[in-house]
Amino acid sequence: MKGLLMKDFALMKGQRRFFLMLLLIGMIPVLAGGNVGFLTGCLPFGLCFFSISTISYDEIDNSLPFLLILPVSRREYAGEKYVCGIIWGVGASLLCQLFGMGYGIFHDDFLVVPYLVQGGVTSVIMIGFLAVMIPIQLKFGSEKGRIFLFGIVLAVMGSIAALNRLINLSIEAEKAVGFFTDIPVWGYVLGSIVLCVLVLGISYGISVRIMEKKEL
Amino acid sequence: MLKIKDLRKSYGTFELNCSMEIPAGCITGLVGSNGAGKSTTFKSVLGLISTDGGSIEVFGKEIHAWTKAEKQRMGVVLANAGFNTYLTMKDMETVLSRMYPRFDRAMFREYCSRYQLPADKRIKEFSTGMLAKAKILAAITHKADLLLLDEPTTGLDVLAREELLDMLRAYMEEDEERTILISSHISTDLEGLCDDLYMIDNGEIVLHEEMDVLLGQYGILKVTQSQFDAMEKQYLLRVMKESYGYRCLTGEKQFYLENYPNLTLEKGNVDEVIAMMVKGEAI
Repeated sequence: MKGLLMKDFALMKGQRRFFLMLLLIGMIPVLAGGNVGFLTGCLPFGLCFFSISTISYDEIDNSLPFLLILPVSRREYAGEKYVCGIIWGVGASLLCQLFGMGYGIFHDDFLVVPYLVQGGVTSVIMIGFLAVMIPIQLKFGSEKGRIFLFGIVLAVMGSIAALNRLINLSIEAEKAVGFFTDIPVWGYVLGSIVLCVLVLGISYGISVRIMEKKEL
Repeated sequence: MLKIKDLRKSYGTFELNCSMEIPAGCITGLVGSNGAGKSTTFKSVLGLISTDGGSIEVFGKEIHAWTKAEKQRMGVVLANAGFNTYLTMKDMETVLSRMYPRFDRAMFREYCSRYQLPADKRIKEFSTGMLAKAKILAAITHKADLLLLDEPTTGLDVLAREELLDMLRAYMEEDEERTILISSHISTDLEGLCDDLYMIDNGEIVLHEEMDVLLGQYGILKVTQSQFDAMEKQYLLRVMKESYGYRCLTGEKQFYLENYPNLTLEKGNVDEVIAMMVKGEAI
């Protein structure tokens, strides 16, 4: 797996201009209006998305058959995409959190705790994004994968809108929302970790099956 | 080193059904026309496609029992696949050094310098010849015991092909137990390199012969109808009707030289043998 990680790292290194641009975009709201939260949302997702796009790079020039004749199993190939996504995405998220805490030292009006909560939520959503997108990209490729992504985003937005309407109309739903607000912070942290591990585990299992059945 | 027994794979109307045995220390050629089944054979050996039956053993192990160790002993060149072209030779060196314990950095860099493969240029900017050399380098610089080369010289000019073949000859000279299975359309490459040859047509092995025998004992007879009617036919492998009479492939050229000195007999070469085995009729 080290060799595959080095390969993807080299691919990402080749795109450093893109990352610099991403960093600049993330820094503009910080410098202009002290909106550090934008950086937390933008940079980890950008890096995570790029790590997933290495699957497309492997499709280009038909590199995937070559990679699979190296001393790498199909299972390892699938696993490396998750490791790469987590290293870059979660790694960037942690760096952003450190940046935020550092920013808070010099700005008294900066609320560190909500910022950390935002970072945690972003990481969970990003892991969910990884878990959904990797098997889709492996199965359908980058072109169809993008269409699926669009469909998933629409489905998620539709679900949120429907849920919002349900909460407004139903007293039971309102009570359920109230239940969630009673859960302590450590409960959310533990629950998020368990959820991420479960979701990633299921996604990894699906990805391994996809790779093992792939004909090249 | 490599044993393929009753390998079967179907794609619609095409069916591969072949058996081959490649002993250690030999260079074996696999020739056939486009769509004959060469790449399908390679992909089956490498586990890139599933098979419908048969067995494949490399280094004495069935393909489904391979571990990383078996893959580390193999070097492969695929016809239509290679290292990601957004990367450089330097990146290739880094990746290969992590994957192969026997990877020789000094040899890799020396070959890159010798064949003028720039370390920091993206592979997508390489010429066809440079790309072919880069693929071979990736296959030979980790001291592989078995090389599987699927059309490594396609698209190259004469000089580039000769350089590539020299790389392979030098590779074999380093260790007499090393083995190569190479497929090619260019028969002259194989004539000068291979110890033996398998010919595949429409998914089946139609001929397996040692190169020395093929070039020394095979011949093409060009005979008239009356000559054909009068001649001994038991040593004829294939026959093709021509405007002047018949063209016949024989594996016992000497018999016809001694017994029918008046017949027109040409020395066999791989191209002609392939053409006769594919298009000719068996006696």
